[in-house]
Amino acid sequence: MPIAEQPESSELLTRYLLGALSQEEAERLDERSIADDEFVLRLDAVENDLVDAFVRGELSGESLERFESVYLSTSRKAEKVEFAKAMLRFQERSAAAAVQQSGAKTPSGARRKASDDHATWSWLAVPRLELQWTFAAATLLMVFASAYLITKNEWLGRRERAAHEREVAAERRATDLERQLSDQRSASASAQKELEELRASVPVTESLKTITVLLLPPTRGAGQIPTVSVTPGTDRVTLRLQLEGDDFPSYQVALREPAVNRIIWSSPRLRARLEGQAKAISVSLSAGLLKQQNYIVELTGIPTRGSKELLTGYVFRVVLK
Amino acid sequence: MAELKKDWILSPEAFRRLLRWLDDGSDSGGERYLEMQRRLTAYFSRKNCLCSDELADETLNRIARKLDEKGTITEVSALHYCYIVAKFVFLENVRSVKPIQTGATELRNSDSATRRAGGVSEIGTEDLREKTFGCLEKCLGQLSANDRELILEYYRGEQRAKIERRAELTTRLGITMNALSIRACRIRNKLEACVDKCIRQT
Repeated sequence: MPIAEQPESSELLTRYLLGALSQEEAERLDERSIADDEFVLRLDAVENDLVDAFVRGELSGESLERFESVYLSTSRKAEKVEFAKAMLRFQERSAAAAVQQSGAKTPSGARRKASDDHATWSWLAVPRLELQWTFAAATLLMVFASAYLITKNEWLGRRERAAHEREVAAERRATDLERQLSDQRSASASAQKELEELRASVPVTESLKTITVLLLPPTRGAGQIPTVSVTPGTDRVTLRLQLEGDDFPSYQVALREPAVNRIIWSSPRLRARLEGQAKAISVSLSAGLLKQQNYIVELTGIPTRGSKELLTGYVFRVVLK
Repeated sequence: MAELKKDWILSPEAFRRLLRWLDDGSDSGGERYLEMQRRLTAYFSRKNCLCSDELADETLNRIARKLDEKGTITEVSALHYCYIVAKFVFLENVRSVKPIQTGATELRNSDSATRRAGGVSEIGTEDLREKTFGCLEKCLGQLSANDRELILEYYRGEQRAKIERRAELTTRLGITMNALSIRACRIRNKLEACVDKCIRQT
C-alpha cells in the first residue's frame, strides 16, 4: 500500500517520537515530518497529547522511561513540557474557580451556611479577646468576599463580551451565507440559461462524455475508497470535493500519484460553492491523465495573507473498463 | 552535492530568493520560512542534536547558497529538497571529528536522575515556570474567544474524559475528529510560539 494512503496510527507516531522505531521506519517518517504538511500536523497533535500525558502522570513503564531518557534529551522538548504544565495549571485554576462559584448552591454549602448562622449568635457569649479575633476574621472574610465578587464580576463581563462577539460573528456569517446563497441562485440561473443556449447550438454527438464523482471529506479510520470507473470514450472526469468548512477565500487542488509520490496535475485558484447543504469545490480533469490505480486529491487553502495550508487529502481509485 | 563556494555569505537578496522559492508562487510574508525552520529544528531535535536551531539554520543557509548559485532548484519539490539537505547536514554532524553534538547521553547523565527524583517539577526553574504561566495567560487573552474556548476544552481532562469531551466538541462544531485535532493543534502551535516569544522578551 502506498505510504501516503493510510494515515499512521497515533501509536506508531508515539513510538516514533519516543525513538522506538527501527531506523528504516524512522527515516521514512523523518522525511514526511519535513515534506508532508498533513503528516506534520498529525505528528504535532500526537506530540502534544504525549507531552500532556506525561505532565498529568499518565505515562508508565517503557513509555515513561523512553520519554525521560529519549524525548526529554533537548531543551526544546523541556520547553514543551513547561508549556504543557502551564496549560494544566491554568485549567486547574479555572476548574477550581468554577467549583467555588457553584459551591454556595450545594447541600454542603447550605450546611456551611447553617453553621455560620449558629456562629452569628454564639459570638455574644465568647470572651472579649475572642470577640476581637472574630471581628478580625469577619473583616478578613469581607475583604476576600469583595475581592471574589470583583473577580467574578470581571469574569462575567468577559464572558458577556465573548458571547456578544460570538453572536455578532454568527450574524455576520448568516448574512454572508444569505448573500452567497443569493449569488449562487443568480449564478445557477444564468448557468442554466447558458447551458440551454449551448445545448441548442451544439449537436448531441459532439458533446463531451464526462464522469462526475462526489468525494466526501476523509474521516479517521479505514473506510471504503471511492472508485471511479472510466469507460472507453470518456473525455473528462469531474471531481466534486465536499468541504468540512469554508475557512479560506480560495483553494487549490492537486492530484497526487501516491505510488511515485508525484503531483501530476494542479488547478488554478478556485472558490468553494454551496452544493446542497455543504460547500464543495469542483475540478475537471482530462480522463487521459488517469491510470488504473489509487490517487490522492490534495486540497490546499489559500488565505488572503499568509501561507497556503494543506487541508486534507481525498483518496479515490480509478478502474479502467 | 555539488561543491559550493566556501566564503559565501547570506545576502539580503539571497534570503529573499530563498523566501520566494519556499513560498512557491504565493506570498506568505515569511511564514513558510518560519514553518520550515520549525520543522527542521524539530527534526534535528528528534535526532537528539543539542544544537538543533543552529543545524536548522545551517540547512536553510545551504539551500539559499545553492539557489544563489543555480538560480533555482527544480529536480524535486521545495519540501523534499529541504529534507535531503537536512539529512546531509545531520550525517555530516554525526560524522564530523568534533560533532556539534548528538548526545542524549550527557543530558541523560546530568538531568535524568534529577528529573526522576523530583518528577516533572524539576525540569524548569520556579522563575521560568512563573514566566511561562504569566505569558500563557497573556497569550490566551490574545486569542479570539472561539479559539480560546476550543483549545481549553480540547486539552482539558484526563484520558477517557478527554476523549469523550473531544467527541462532544466534534458534534457541537459539526466537524470530524481529524479536522478538530488539526484545528486544535494549529491553535496550540500559535499559542506555544506566542509564549516562547513572550518569555524571550521578558
